[in-house]
Amino acid sequence: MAAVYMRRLGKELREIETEAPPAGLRLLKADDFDTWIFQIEVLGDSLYRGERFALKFRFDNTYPFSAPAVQFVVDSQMRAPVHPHVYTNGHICASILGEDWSPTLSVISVCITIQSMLASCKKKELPEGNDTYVRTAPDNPKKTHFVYDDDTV
Amino acid sequence: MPDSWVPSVDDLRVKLCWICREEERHDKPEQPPRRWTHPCNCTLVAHESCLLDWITAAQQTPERAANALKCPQCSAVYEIISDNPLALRLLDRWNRLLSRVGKVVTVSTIGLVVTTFSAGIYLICTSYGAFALREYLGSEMYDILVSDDPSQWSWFAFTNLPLIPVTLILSRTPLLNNYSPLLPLLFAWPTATPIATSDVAMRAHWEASAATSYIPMKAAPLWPPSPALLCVLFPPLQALYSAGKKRLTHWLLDTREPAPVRIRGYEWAIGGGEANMDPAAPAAFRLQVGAQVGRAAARRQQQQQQQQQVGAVAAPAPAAEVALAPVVQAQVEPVVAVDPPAAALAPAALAAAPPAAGQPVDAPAPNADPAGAAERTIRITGASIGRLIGGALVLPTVSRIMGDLLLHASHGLPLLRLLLAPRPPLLRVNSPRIWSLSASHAESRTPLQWLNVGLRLFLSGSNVWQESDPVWWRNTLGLGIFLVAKDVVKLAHLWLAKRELESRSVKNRSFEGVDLRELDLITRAEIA
Repeated sequence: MAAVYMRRLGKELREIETEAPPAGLRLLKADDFDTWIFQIEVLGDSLYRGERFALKFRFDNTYPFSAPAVQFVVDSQMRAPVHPHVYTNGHICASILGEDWSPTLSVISVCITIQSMLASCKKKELPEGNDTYVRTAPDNPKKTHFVYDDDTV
Repeated sequence: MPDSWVPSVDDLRVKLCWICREEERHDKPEQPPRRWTHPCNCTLVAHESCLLDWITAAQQTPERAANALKCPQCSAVYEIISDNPLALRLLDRWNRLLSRVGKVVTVSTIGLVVTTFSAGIYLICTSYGAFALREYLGSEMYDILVSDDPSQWSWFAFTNLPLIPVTLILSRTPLLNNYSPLLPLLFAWPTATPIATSDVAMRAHWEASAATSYIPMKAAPLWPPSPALLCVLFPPLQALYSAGKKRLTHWLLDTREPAPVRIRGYEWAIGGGEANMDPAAPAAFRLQVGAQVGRAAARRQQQQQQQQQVGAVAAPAPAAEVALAPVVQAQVEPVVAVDPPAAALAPAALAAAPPAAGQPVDAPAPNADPAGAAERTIRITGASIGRLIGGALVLPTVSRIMGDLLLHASHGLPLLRLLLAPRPPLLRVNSPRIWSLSASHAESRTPLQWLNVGLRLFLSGSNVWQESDPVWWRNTLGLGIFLVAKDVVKLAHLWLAKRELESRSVKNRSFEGVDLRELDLITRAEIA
């Protein structure tokens, strides 16, 4: 599996570099096959007009058989978007990053899904129980067992 | 190319694996070749090894396992062809079965532990209940009504006996303090029918016509009163006694009835000492008595000695109860009335009461600080709980000992003998005849007759109670005397303590040994 992981990530990286990534996405960092960072913004009319976020992917050698760990970067410069499925520590509650992951998805398709998740947001609000979750959350969002209850956003 | 020709994965010009994203052109086959597969209904194709890895990975993740064999795009179900011999299938099934058995074992183990624990508690409570009942009723009635053989017990023995220790203990807490501790011992037994011991059962078999009705139909002696009557009469009697005692206390100690103080909270200090170990508690007692008589605070040491003496006299009465100021005593009156040791719950927090020393006689000293008094808490320590429980559980034995003493004393006192109304032991062999009524009687009873039956049952109890030696009666009287005696001792102690404080004065001495030149004295001439 390890061989598949390197070959597949290499191929995805080549594709991103040769073909321009979709609008609103920019690769900020992909020095290795451990961590990639994308800049993401929602184009067009949305609640997040003019805001820029950084999306971090962490891979291990089970990729693509299991999902990468994906979260928004939260540091001195970057903030996570205020969204009912995004916790203030950057963790994202999205089923494609958990039980609905499949190898048909890719790094770019995850970016696009998250972009559209932000674009379709109707009200900027924090998830329920944000404070509790942020206090107790593990570093790696994949270790959190999310309950996906809302398919509309 | 015939029309029926349907292409397969090997006919693709370019094959792109949807898992590892690698391509293979048909004119540039990989070396070594890898098998390709098209397992579903859509256009996705994959290396067979990649797909099998994916399926394995998905099956190992619990939340994805259900969809592991489905194409993520068209949801078609993959068909796995494998070498799955009967042995493997059997082993798989066996493994699943074992997991299920494991669950059952876990659940039943927990259940067993809980059940064993509860059964142990039940066993202990029931054993104690039987012991207490035997102490209270005397062995003769106990053997008739209950006996040591549980297979002969009626259904309520199984519920009533284990409840006896529980109600005994509860009767000493504020929860049930208006009830006699003896109620659980009396309750349900008055109407009890004798259990069928082996010899009785044998007779019953031969005398099949003798119905098992033990309801009294004939005139019964009205003395001693029936247990049912006693149960009903007890609360008013006790209320009278409490009120009388309260008045006597206030009269003796010259205190006023304080405003009722609500206990605000219970403080748990299981590791803590008992109330009278707290040096502040006896001091508080003295201070409060002192406040009433307008004298200064007490000398602690002397009073502690006094306490030990009193504690030794009233054996089960904890010394702590004398630490109760009359004020608080009135507040916990019902408890104290039923059973003085209940003062184990004595608010040690009394210490918090203001040391209102040197106040005028009529000052409402204990309530000088109403806020402080209102906030008193009951301190529950390990020792106080132990004393509460121990004191409650020893009651039946105390009652038996007192009953025995009374019986002993009655030998020389005809009047007491009349009061106790002891009866000679029953002849067990004859017992069924004594208790049975012929069935024919039971047939033709009018409602009025039934009412009569109920009234008699209430007034004199069932035949067992009428005809057995009323050990329970003298035990009840004995316990009553014991409780009253204890109250008297406690009151006497309070009164003596009060007198000691009232009689205090400071001894006057002459100026012997003092340099008289330092004193500005009146000259003898002036006096003259």
